[in-house]
Amino acid sequence: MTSLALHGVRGGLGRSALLAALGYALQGVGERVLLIDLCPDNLLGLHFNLPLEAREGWALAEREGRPYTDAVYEVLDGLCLMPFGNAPGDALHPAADAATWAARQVELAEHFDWLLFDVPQLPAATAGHCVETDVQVLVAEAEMASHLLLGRRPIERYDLLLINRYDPASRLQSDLLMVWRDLFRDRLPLQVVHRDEAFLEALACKAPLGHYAPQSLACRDVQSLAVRCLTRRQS
Amino acid sequence: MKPGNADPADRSDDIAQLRQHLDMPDLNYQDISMLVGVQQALQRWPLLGESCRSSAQDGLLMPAPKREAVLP
Repeated sequence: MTSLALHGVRGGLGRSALLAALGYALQGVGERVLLIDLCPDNLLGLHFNLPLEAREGWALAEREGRPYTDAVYEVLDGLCLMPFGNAPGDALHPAADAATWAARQVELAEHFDWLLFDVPQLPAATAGHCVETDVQVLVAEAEMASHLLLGRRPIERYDLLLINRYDPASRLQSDLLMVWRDLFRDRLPLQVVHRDEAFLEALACKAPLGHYAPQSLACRDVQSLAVRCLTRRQS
Repeated sequence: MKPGNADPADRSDDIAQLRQHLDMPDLNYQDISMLVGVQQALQRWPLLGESCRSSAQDGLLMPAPKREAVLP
């Protein structure tokens, strides 16, 4: 089992949609995948056609004294999803911390090849993550805020810098990508996912990118990302 | 297409492959066209240039150590 999380240099980078697409791509090559939503926004399930009003999730199960595994949905053969859950009018405050999730990863290891965590955006000053994973991917866009915030991150902690929503027609974006290749040369591999309307449309259709637009450019980028992930696969 | 103007996203790591093929992992190589492109980018976008100069002093966003060019 290999665990992976996408961390953002800032919020609003499309990480949930990326993670949903990555899970679908890994399932497509025969991997057993569990997607775990650690974000109180509870949006990850919508990428897999869960009802908008669905409340069930691991944080709700925790609060009600039930096992966190009560909230696992098998959305496709070999692709499972554990939503965060929600309680209308009463925000959920999960008790699970990094140590709890470390123990849960061990419990889940025999059932899945991949645990993919959708993690909330924490303030830059926060030390550590809400879950520690085998593969840590840092997500940015090729724009100046990401560039400045990248400088405040300990990049040695990450395995890959993923540049999302890349538009090669933009002079600024292609310049930034070139500068980052130079800055992070030999220290952090870069992977690009192109800007693609299909990402937005896929969520509007409650489907992961690979299901909604399998021929799209971004889908091919995500498949490349999945192949790169497979090189990090642990038994 | 002029050299160095290709989409950087498509830039394959030919040099890494060459190092592997020659079994010379320490082979020094300087991509001159990329260095020129980086310098032009830092001049084109003032905040980018300022941040790279400032972070080089602070040790943040430090460029990778420059290697000596391979000359014939």
